[in-house]
Order: sequence, then structure tokens, then C-alpha cells
Amino acid sequence: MLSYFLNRVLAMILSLAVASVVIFCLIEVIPGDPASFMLGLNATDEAVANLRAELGLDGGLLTRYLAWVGGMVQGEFGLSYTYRVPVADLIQDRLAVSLPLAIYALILSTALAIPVGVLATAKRGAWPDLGVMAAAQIGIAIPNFWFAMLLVLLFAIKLQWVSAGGFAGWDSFGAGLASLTLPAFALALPQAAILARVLRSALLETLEQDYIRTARAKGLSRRRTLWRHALRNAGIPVMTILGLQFSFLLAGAIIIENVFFLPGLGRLIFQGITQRDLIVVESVTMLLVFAVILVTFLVDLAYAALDPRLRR
Amino acid sequence: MTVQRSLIIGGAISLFFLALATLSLLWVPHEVTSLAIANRLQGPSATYLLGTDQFGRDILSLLMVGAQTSIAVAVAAIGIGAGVGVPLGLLAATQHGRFGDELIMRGNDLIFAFPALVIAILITATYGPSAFNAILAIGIFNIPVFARVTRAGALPIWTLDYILAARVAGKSKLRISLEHILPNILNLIIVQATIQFSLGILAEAALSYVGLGAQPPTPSWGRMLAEAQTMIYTHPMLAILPGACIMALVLGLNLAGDGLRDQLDPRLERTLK
Amino acid sequence: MTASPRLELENLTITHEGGALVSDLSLKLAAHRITALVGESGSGKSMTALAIMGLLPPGCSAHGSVLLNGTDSLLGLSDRKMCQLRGRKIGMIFQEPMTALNPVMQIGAQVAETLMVHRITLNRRAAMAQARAILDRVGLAQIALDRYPHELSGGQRQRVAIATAIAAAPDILIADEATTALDVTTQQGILALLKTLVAADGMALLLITHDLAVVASMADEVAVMNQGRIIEKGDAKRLLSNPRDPYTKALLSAARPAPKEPQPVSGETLLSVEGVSRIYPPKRLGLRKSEPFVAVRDANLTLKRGECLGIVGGSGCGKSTLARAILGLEAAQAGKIVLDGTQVHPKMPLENRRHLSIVFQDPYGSFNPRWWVGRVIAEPLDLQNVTSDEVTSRVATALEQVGLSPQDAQKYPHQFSGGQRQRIAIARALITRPDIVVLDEAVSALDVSVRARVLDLLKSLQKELQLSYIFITHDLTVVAHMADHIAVMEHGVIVEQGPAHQILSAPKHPYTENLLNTAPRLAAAPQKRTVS
Repeated sequence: MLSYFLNRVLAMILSLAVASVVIFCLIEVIPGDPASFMLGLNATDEAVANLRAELGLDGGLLTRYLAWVGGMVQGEFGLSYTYRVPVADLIQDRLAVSLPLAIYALILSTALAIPVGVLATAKRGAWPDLGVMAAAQIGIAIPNFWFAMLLVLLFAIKLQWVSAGGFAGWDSFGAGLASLTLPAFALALPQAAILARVLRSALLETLEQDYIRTARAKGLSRRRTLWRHALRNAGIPVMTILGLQFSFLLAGAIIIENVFFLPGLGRLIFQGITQRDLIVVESVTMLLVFAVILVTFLVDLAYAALDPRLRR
Repeated sequence: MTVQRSLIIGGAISLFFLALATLSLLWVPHEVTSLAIANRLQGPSATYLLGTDQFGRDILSLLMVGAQTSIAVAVAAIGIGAGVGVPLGLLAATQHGRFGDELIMRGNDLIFAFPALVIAILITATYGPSAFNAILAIGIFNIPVFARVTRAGALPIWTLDYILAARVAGKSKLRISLEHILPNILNLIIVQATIQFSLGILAEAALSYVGLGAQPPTPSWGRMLAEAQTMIYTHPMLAILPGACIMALVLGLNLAGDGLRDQLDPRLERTLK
Repeated sequence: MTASPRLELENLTITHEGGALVSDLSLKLAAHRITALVGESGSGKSMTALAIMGLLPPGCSAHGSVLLNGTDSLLGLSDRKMCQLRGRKIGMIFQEPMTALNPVMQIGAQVAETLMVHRITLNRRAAMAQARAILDRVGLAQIALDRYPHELSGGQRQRVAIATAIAAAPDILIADEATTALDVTTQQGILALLKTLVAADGMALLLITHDLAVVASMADEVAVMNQGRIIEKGDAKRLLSNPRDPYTKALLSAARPAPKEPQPVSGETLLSVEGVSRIYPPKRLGLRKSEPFVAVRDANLTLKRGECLGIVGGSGCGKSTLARAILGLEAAQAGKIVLDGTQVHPKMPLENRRHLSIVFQDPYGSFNPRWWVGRVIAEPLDLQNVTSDEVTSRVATALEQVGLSPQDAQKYPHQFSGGQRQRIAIARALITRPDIVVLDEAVSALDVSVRARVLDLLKSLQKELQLSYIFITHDLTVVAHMADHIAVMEHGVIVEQGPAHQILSAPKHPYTENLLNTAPRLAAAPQKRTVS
């Protein structure tokens, strides 16, 4: 068990290290001089030189890389060129919107998918099953930002139940949560349909296994076999999808922020791109990749909790 | 042989959009690059079958050329993904349990850690947004998918006796991969390609929606949605039509993929007998 | 037999989409008695068991009557009612111990579950205590309750499966090919356990098997099934020594092929294996490294022209690994293999490969399903210098040699039965006109009657083409029928070798002796041996 855990930690650190090198190379090395890129074509040589000094570009590649990584480990991401404030502060503000949104959506999606998936399996071939299958097809096919627009059209414009966008802030928890609810549903519903379908097919496959027949031969009813024996075994493929969905939800959150005018990481990074603020872009992408790698690590741990064969 | 119903329906939808896109190469009802503010925001009419947008462009023509953009980007991305991923997967399977396999699979995991969007952001941040960069971003993300499917399909075949028989005949791993492994996993790869096709359409739409895809004046479904967003209170149809096209095409491709999988699955064929 | 039967099947018919899988089957199971239901694959014996349990696959339906303890009819009961009987009145164990237990559940909990479901013990603690006692009974006293199935061997898992089936002290136990997937020694232990349980608890045991040797050592009564019907039934001793039905007779004679007459092989030495060891490098398990694994240690063998060398051993003894080294697929880490004066190794010239070929066990995994038979058979010639006309004529000859027709070359493998597929595999092995054919469990997956015909074919081909065989198997009756010389392997080491008759009649090594004693033998049928 300990060896498995250490192994996964090592793999996570290695992934982070390689990812940071890739990002560093893509942004700071391959395109040429970041300072002249950031300032554009009309910049004076003097301005470029000043920026180079400010960004510490005069040092060697390795020194710059180590300084960047070292800073991130201590929570220092450098100074945003356009905003003139520490990037860490910017990220902190924006993370307070994006992270709760992704987690909110993940919880919603899981909470909807598990009962629905089990129901579809139990009523195989009947209308709840067909409904889940159809919903899953649509869930996969629908672009979530467009689904978000449709929700805005229906709930904000036609029915006027909620406001069309903006973020109320966390001063009042309820208000903050309320302004994230429609975006979270827009993200979660299609994913829930997909997850329910994955759970259904994993359960059906599990129900074909020999040990299910053994359980039935012991006298367990269909229902009890499903809950006691099939669900936990089907949990393994479902965990994989759940892990993938988190990175999907995170990316989805970044895009959907545009529909709802939420001041999250997505808006920050797109502003960074338009304003050529490489420091912001670099830090936020690293943060996103870190989140995905962390979730992969957690999924690996969950595997071991579910499946004793992995604990060695 | 009975053809799966989902394959027929999905294939018909996909072919419809493919035909629209091909037609748009030769002919569109109205030029999409010319702006005619005088004709802006018209309802459907005999001249403009689906009306015009806020710049006076014909929506039907925009949708047709948009289909062409989406399909071209997705197909090119599959080309990159399959072209690199399938050989990598075959190679990994021959190296199973050894360093080469480990290296390829770890590399895959790493690309998976960058969502397609993040790759696109990185590329566009340094090279500027364009359709080509969108293809590159989506294509890179397709590589590990194809590599995994190929490897996962190839590994069980490598344990079968007919592979051992081929090795007793003195055949190299490369030749066995091409003669025995690839033809037997082609089904899996084709089905995966239809899935990646539909995901590519979605990714292209998302990228052009946030301005990282095809640049003006090339029309694309995603950018039509972005432009429609400010008009949503007054002209919701501008937002509904391109989204519906995306969903219909993706749905069609997924149905075709599911149908194709069932059609090609030899296990299913056996149970039918 | 005066006591009323525990279970009475009368005119049981099982249909699937209009076709009958089992027709008019009548059978009685009595307390304290072991009834064997024997048949080759597809005879309907497993379907009968599933019908009793009410667990037929969807699309199948059963008619007739199944009476439990003379009164309750089981057919047509609701699933709810059946759930109360399954496990409580009728227990069942299945063939595959590797997959029959829930991989993510501790074994104690799996045994206790039977008790909890039937409310025999009402709290978990008492159920676990009783599970402990039951596991002790099935010979797993050393195995803790919190172990998971993957931590146990195949035989131990089958014991856990038995424990879950007998936990609620059922009246009837059904064992469906319960020892088929196990090594002979392990098989013997499980059979002995079942016998003890029947004697102690007075259960009626329905033993479903294809193996007449198992029947001979276990059953009080036998019913022989063929194509969904019982064709002969009666007292086991009587039926095995004096069968009446022609099918039963054929089955019995096919199941005990006569040992080969010892005859001197005069040919020159063709192959010599000198001090060969096959060691797998250590695997990296995350931060740790495993020990290097020695699959074969210091093996010495010789094979003469026209001789059949049998290599015998349980699964994992290294016999297939040794075969791979002899075929030049994997390099040996020590020693050398010499074929006709040239050394065998993975990089040997293609021309030399022609002298060696192989036939495998699995008739389904042996062929690329997308290739037609002609291409499959011709594959060994792909890298040899042979014209395409020559290939066509050689394929035709090979097909005729194995008793198929040259037209079969245009068909696909799935169009053939298991026995025919094995003939195709033999044709492929003959196409290069080899000197040595390795037969790796080549008849183990076949039903006995098919097996007998394939063995006859192999013998006549050997004589006709002056072939040398390396015959790898776990099955002593088959090796006795085929081999001139036998090598016995255990844990990667050849523990004993010599002329076949000598090894079989006067074994010197304790492992060989054990192997001979534990293998259930048909010849022993008339004087039923007592099993301790």
C-alpha cells in the first residue's frame, strides 16, 4: 500500500516537472524574446530592455526556469505586466470563482448520475433506460457553452428566474452560490448524462461476471446483487471517467465563464492572451495542468481504495 | 447482413453536413465575406432562407461555410492523431512491459494532463490564433487517444497463439504488427476516429467561440455563436441555429460511430447466429 | 435406495428460441449419494444445472417438473421464492475459481453473506465467526478472513467457493465442472473434500463433468448425456465396467487410450538440449525490484528422429517456456540447444527455422480470424524461398494429410469445428516439412472422442513422415498413449526422465509418484479407491 502510494506521488511529481518544462519552453523559449513579443512591434529598444530586466530575462535559461518553479512552489507567480499586481493575487481572486464552479458541477454531475445509472441498469430496456441513453447521446453532442446560452434564454430571459450573468461575490455565501447555479447546471447536466451511461454499461458488464452468478446462487436477489456486488466493481471504470470529467469541467468552466460574465480564470487567461501578458498565461496554464495532475493522482488513490488487487 | 439503424440515421446526418460543406466549396447562396449593413438582421425570406445576421450576411451561407471549416479542422486533427498515435500504440504493444512502452504511455499521460483547451491556449498565446493552430492543438490531443486505443487493442492479440505461430515462422515484430495486429484492430481505430471526429467538431466550436480558432473573415459555427451572444435578447435565432448545427452533426457522428461499432463487432455477430 | 429423493427431475425440457437444448430429462438425486452427469461440451449438462437453480440465461425456458424434497416444484416459482431456496436448499459451485469470487470483497464476508442473506445468523459478528468455522472445515484454517481472492491460489479459491455454497447446509450441492480448471493434485484435494462433505452432511451431490476419470473416482450413480438427452444411466460401477449404449462405449474407450507399446527408436539424435536455463530479468514494481524468475533450470534432453518425447508437469512448471526456447523464440541464459549440428537461438538463420514447428492448445486463438485457411497454413512459408505455385500445391497436400479437403483452403477458420481447427493447425505445422513438431497441450481442449481421432492422426503422420514430436501436456493418459520417452518437470526443473514405460510403472522421484497417484484414472474404476 505504502509502495503504491509513494509510486503515485513520484509519478505526480515527475508529471509536474515535465509539464513545467514543456510550458516554460513553449512560452519563453520557442517564440524568441518574450519581452519584444509582449511589447509588440512598435516598442522602443529601451522599453524592451527595461522589460527584459524586470522579467529577469538576462539570466540563463536554467536560472530563469529554476526561479520560475521556485517562485511557484512558494506561491510567487511574478508581477502581471498589464495589471502591475502580483499574478498570485489575480489568480487567488479568480480561483475563488472557477474552482467552486468546477467542484459544484462535479458534485451535481455525480449526484445525478449514480442513481440514474443504477435505475437505467435495473430497468434495462424500459423507458428509464432508453431515456438515459437518449439523454447521454445529447449530453455528449451538445456544446456546453451553447447549452448555457439556451439555459440563459429560458431561465433568465423567458422565465426571469435568475439573472443572466455576473457574480455576486462570496460576501454572502447564498448569493455567491446562486450566481454559480445556472453555470454549474450547464456544465453538469451533459456530463451527468454521460456518466450515467458509463455507469450503466460498466454495471451491465459487471453483471455478466462469474461472481455475480455465484452471488445469485447464494440466494441474493437481483437488486441486492446489483448494490452489494456489481456497484463497487463497476466503480473502477467510473472513477476513470470521473477523473477525465474533472479536467473537462475545468476547461468547460473556463469557456462557460464567457457566457455568464463570471470573473474567473478563463476570463483572466483570455485577457492575458489579448494583452500578450505572458506571465499571466504561463502561470494560469501551469495551475490548470497542476489541477488536472492532482485529480489524476486522487483518482489513482481511489482505485486502490476500490480495488484490493492494486494495494501491494 | 442487417445494417444497424443508428448507423443509417447517423450516417445520413453526417453525410448531409458533409454534402453541405462540399457544396459550399463550389457555390453558396450569398457571398459570406461581403458585409451589407443595409440587409442586417432580416427574418427568413425567399432571398435569405434563414435570414441575415447583424452584419447583413446570409445565415444559410455562413452555416454552410462553417460546416466546411469545422469538418476540415476535425479531419485534419484526426489525421495528426491517428498518423502519430497508431504507430506509437503499435510500437508500445511490441515493447510491452519494457522501457519503450513505459516511455510512450507516460508521454501519453502527460498530454492527457493538458486539456485540449490548455494546449490551444499555449499555442495561440505564442503564435497567435488561427485555424492551423487549432488543428495542431486538437491533433496533439488526439495522439494519446489513438495510441491508447491501438495499444489496448493490440496487447491481447499479442498473447494469442497465431502470433506465436508467426514468430515461429521467423516474422519480425514490425511485420507481425502490420500483417496480424493492425487489420484486427482496424475496427477499433475506425470507431475511435468517428468519436474523435465528433469531439474535434466540439473542440473547434469551443476554440472559435473564445476567439482561438479560425479568424475573420472565415466563418465558423463557434464564432457565429460568440457574435450572436450580444444579440441573444433580441434575436435568439442567431444563437440557436449554429448551436443546433453543431449538435446535429456531433449527434450524427456519434450515432454512426455506435452503429459502426456494433456492425463491426464480431462478438455481436456470433451471438446473432 | 429407499429414501425419497432430495431432488427429482422429471421430463425436464429446456428450449432456446424454439430449439431444445435438453429434452425429456429425468433424474433423481438422493441424500448421501453422488450422482454424476457426464457429457461432452454442448450436451446440455450445465443447462440442466442452471435450470434447477432457476438461473437460465435470458431467452431459455424450462418445462417439466423439478421437485425439491418430494413436494415443492421449482419450475415457475417467482424469483423471490427461488432466492429463499438458492444457497439455503441448493448450493452450487462453478468451474472457474479465478472469476467465481468477487475480487473486491474479503473472503470471510463472501462466506458470511450466505448466512446473512438466509438469516441463519442475524448479526455480522456471529456470521463471521461461523464463516471462520466453515473455512476451517474446507481446509482453509490458515487463511485469514480478511484475505482477498487474488491473494489465494486456484485450489484455495475453489475451497472458498465451496464454503460459500455449503455455508447454509443445503440439501443439494451442484458442482459444475468444479475441478476442470485445476491441476491434478489440486483437483484430487477438492474431490476428496467434496466426498467428505457428502459423507458428513448427507447432501445429495450432483457432479457435472466431462471427465470420466473423475466420475470413476467419485460417483455412486452416473447419467450420460449426449445432445440434450440422457442416453444411459445407472450404478457407476456397473455402467463404467459394462456400458450398454454405443455412445457410452465409444466415450469410455476414447477416454482411456492404450499406453504405447515400448519400441526402440533407432534414429540418430536430432535435437539436444544441454544445460539450458531460462531466467526472466527482475521486474520493476515501482520503487522495488522483484527477484529474477528462473522458469527453467539446467534442462538436459535429447530427441531422436522418429521419437516422441513427452514433457509432463502441472501449470507453471516451465514446460511451455522450455518449448519456446527449443523453438528459438527466446534466448536461453545458459546452456545451448543444438538442432542437427546447428545452434538454435532467436537470431538463427530463417532456413533453420523450417525444421521446427508448433501446434497449440487453443483452437480459437490459433488463427488470425481475418485470414482464410489457405493463407493461415501457408504462413510459415512466407519468409522461405518458395514459389507461389509450390505454396498452393503444398497447402493442398497438407490439407489432405490431415484429413481435410484442398477446397477448405478457401474457407475461414470460424467455419470449422474445434477438432477440424486442430487439424488445420497440424497442417500449418507440416507445411515447412519440419523434422520436429512441438505439440503444446495440443489435444487438451478437445472432447475425448475428438481427441482420440486427432491422436490417431498424429500417430499415423509421425510414421508416414518420420516426424519427431515434443509432446507437452499435463495429462498422463495422453502422454502414456503417445510418448516413447518422458521428462517430468516441476518448478522449472526436470526431476526425472527415462523411457515411458519405466517412468509410468516405476517412478523414482516423489513428484512423479504423486502425479501418478493423484491423477484420477479410469482403469481404477472397478475397485473404487477410497480417498483420504
